[in-house]
Amino acid sequence: MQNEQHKGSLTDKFEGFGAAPSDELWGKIDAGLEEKKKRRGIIWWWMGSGMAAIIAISALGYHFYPQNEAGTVVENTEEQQAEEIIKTESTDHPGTEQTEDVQKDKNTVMADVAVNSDNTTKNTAPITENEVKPDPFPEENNTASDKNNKPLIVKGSEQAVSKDKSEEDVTEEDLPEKPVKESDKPALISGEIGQIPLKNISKLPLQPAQPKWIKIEPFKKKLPWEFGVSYTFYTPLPWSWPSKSELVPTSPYSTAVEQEQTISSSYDFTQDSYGSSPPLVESSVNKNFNLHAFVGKYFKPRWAWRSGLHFSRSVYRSYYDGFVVEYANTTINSLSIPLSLRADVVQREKFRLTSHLGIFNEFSVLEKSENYFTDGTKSSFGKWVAGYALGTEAGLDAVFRITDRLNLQFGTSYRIYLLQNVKAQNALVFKRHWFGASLGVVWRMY
Amino acid sequence: MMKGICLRYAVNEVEAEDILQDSFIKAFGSLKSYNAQGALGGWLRRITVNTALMQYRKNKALKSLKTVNDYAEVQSTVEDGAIEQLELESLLEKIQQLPTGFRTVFNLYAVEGFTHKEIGEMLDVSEGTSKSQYSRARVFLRKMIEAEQKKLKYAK
Repeated sequence: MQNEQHKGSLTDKFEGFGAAPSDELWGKIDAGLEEKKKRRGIIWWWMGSGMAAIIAISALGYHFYPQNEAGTVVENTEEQQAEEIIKTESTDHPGTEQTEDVQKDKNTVMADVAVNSDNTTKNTAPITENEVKPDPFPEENNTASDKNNKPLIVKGSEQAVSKDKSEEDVTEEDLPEKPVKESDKPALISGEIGQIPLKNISKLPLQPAQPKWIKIEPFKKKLPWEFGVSYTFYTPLPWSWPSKSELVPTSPYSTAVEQEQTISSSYDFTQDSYGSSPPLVESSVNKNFNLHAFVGKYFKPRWAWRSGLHFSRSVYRSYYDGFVVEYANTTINSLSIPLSLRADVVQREKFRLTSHLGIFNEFSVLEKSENYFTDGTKSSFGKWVAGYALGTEAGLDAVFRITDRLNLQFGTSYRIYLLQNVKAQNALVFKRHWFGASLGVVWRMY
Repeated sequence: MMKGICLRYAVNEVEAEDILQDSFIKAFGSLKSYNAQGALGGWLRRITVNTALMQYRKNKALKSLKTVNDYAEVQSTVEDGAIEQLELESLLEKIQQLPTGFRTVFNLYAVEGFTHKEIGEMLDVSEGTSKSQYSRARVFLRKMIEAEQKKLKYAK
């Protein structure tokens, strides 16, 4: 829209007025464009790397920790071990030793494993290399001839048993002259191989031994309570940089006063140029501190709620178009009572990846302000303040089990404010969209 | 054209080049958002003016309070229309001497052609404040012309 009074008066005079930018300026513009590109890249890199770290951690946790079947983490049962042996056999020897009935074979193996399990505690001494162990199951192995009663010579590796010879032909002469190096040995579970019946020796899984994790209490028996503290750093997202709609309407300083108050002959130098207060021209905010103390409870093996008391500190800066006050720093301290619903996306014995969605309500309680004046002086004050904010938050937490009860939690979250209203002394500009990264500890009480 | 706009909103050429640099960076950075149906000149002009306004906000305007009050209290004997009669370079020099707030409002109203309501929204001040600033800016300019005329008279 054009104003009618001066339309065309000075506009025509300045039309086409100007000069070409200098070469030096073009160089600065070029450098500025590169810097802008780099800055934008850093923001995306930071957000992307956060998500990538969570995904990578999740993938590692998924790969290395034993998987459970019913939403709980338990160690492999004897039945599962038997199942694995059957699977190994059926894949390693298709069409050779499969003449027997599969079910019968399965039952045999299961019986073997059961016996082994009982004997494990009695025979915990590790097997030394080239040790000759008597077959503890002579009757079970005595299916074809009495030759099977010959002791099994356990070499460093089961692969060392020559395939050219039958099991009964294996004697001490077959031992290698030089001892097998430790590094050449397959990582079998110590104390168990000597007790596997000869018949089933080839059925042993050729997998490295899994480390034995701390046994977890199954959630299905007793769902735990959670207590913990966490620290979260939030940063406003680029698309929520200052806009007029985000100006707090209730702030006493956000409304510009009328012109009569703007400049008067009886101007008081101790006052701002606009009478009671200057109009806000620019503002920024950084929420840099968020301390959470929380309590939660699993109400289903995968599902939990979490609430608590959160303390947050937000720092605002307001620039004024004033004669006296140049700008002001305002710190708003708030208490919040959030409530979130959490679902374990991945559950492992020592690792959980948990998604969460919740709401939070912030009550601003204390305001601290520092006003900086044009003459270089400053004044500060603190006072109680009333304010309220409401928002919603979603995110992912990676929870690592350190001890039986203690867990370490890393997380990322996305926060959107639905309502923001703080009656501060200075005009504040709020941001709606935030991205946060958190670190915390969680105690799980069974 | 862009540098001309910057010179009007800036105190001196150095500040004008800063505004021009920021304007170019913004323009290059948001070329994708340029609607080819509109005139490129108008689009660049808007970017430059907006950048100059950002500079105004950062400058915490109107620092020379004493001078402002002096001029506000004394009426000029020079006619109001004398401002439009000035040579371009002379007018630009005087505009650059205006306090930042006055200069900004004067440029937006007298040169860009915005209404006081629009200026109020742009600068986050009331419409009345914009009118007042513009009025004071014209008084300021007339006083400068008067001072210049007196100087020439004494020189003769």
